[in-house]
Amino acid sequence: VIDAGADAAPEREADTYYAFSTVGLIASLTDKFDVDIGYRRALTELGLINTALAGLALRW
Amino acid sequence: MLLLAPVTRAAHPLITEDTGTQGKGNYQLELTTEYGRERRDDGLETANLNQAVLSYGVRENLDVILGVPHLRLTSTAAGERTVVNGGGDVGIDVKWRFHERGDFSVAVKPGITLPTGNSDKELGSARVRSSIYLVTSYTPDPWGWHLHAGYVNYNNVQGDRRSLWHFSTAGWYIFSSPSSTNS
Repeated sequence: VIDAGADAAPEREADTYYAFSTVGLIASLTDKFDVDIGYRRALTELGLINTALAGLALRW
Repeated sequence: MLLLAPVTRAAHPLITEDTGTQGKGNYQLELTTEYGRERRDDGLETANLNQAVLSYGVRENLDVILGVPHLRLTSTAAGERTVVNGGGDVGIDVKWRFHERGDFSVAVKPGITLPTGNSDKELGSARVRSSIYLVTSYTPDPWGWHLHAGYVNYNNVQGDRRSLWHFSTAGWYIFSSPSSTNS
C-alpha cells in the first residue's frame, strides 16, 4: 500500500500544512486476521520526520 | 503539536480511508501502534500512539466505529527528559457507503471525538470535536485507489484554528486473492 496526503496546521502562527507519505504492507493471514507494517515520513517541517507503524485486525 | 493525531481511521497503516464496511452484524477489532521520533537541534522528541479501534456493521453499508487511543510523548532537551503518558480523546465515527456502481463507490464519514484525554498534559482537546469526510474508492481487482477529503471542526482551548481540512490519496495492489478488503 502507498499513501500520501496533507492536513492543515492548527497553529495560527503556522502558515503551512503537514504533508506525509506512507508505504506499507498488509498481510491477510486468514480471511479473519490481518497484520500490517508501515513507514510514514513527514514531507514538511511539522510533525515527526520518521514514524514506524504496525498493527493487527481481527474480524468476526 | 506532534501530529500523531488519534483518529478512527482506514485500514492501518493507511491514513486514507476507503469505502469498505464490515457487513451487517460483523465486527472488526484493530490494534495498532505508531512510533515516531525526530532529533531536533536541542534534543529528541518521540511519540507513541497505541490505539484500539472497534468497528461494527449496523447495516451492510454502514459501520459504527469506536477508537480508543493511548499516547506516550517524550521530549529530551539539555539532558532533561519529560514523559507524558495516558489515554487520549475517544473517537466515534459512522461510515456510510451511499453509492456503488461497479468498482466505484462513495462514502461519507462523520464523527466526533470526546474530551476524555487530559488536556493539561496535551493528551486531549478539552472540547468535543467533529469532522466529516468524503471518501471515494475505485477497486478494479487487484488494484485499489482511494481519495479522502474532509473538514475538521478543531474545537480547542489553545486558541488554534478551528477549521481544518484534510486531503489524502492511497493505492494498493493485492498480491494474493483475498475475497474482500476491509477497513
